[in-house]
Amino acid sequence: MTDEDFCALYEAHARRLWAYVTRAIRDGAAAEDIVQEAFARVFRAKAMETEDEEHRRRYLYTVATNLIRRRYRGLVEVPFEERAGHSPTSSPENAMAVTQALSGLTRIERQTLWLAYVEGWSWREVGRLLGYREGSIRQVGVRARRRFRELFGESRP
Amino acid sequence: MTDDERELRLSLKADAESLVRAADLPSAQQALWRAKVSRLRDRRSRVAHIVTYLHCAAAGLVAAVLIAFAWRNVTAAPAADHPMTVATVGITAVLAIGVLALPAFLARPSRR
Repeated sequence: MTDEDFCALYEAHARRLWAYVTRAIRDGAAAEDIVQEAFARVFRAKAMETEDEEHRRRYLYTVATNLIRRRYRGLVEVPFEERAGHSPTSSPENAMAVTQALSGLTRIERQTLWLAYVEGWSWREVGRLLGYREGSIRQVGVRARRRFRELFGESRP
Repeated sequence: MTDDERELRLSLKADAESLVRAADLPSAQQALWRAKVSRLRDRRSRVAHIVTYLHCAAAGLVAAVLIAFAWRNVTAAPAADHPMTVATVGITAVLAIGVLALPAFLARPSRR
């Protein structure tokens, strides 16, 4: 991959990838590390030299998801209130409500919702990325959506 | 897509957009520099692995030559000299392996 290709890829996807990782792990600083590592791996990967941008984008999300899994394997999630300072706030109106609602979900549920509804991935792709069968991840999505709606309704201003 | 899903998508997308705007990440040039450093480290680590394997292979080869030499001496020497010949060549083989392979083993790159 040339330097120009890397810079173009970074400009196009770094922020969105960071948003995904931040919402998944609720830690902006750690998310930055993961994004950096994901881009470094894409840069190192020989196979990525001939791939198009869409493949590189998917590879980035795959690497970031694997890094999240590896980093937080076996760790119990810290309640949101204790780490609120590390979670960047977004828009003034619904941001806190969304943040609160997402924090009530498990990491897998947050990743599922984000990939399916923000990134527009199919259930099959989300399932493959997160290590679930399509039917199972669909169930996770339904459950997460229901839970998100409840929590979002509670915390919306 | 149901209304429920549509509302969820809108909420999440609005959140994503505001997060993207608020993101304070290193510039592309800084990220490129870090990626290059990371690639360099990766290459060095690979070279170190290859050097380790070459050391070990060399040690194995030396040991094999010495054992073959010992075997030839043992079969050629009078029966009374067998224990001495075997011991001498055996010790030499162990020392050769130690000198060549141990430093390489100790200096092997750590796997993270």
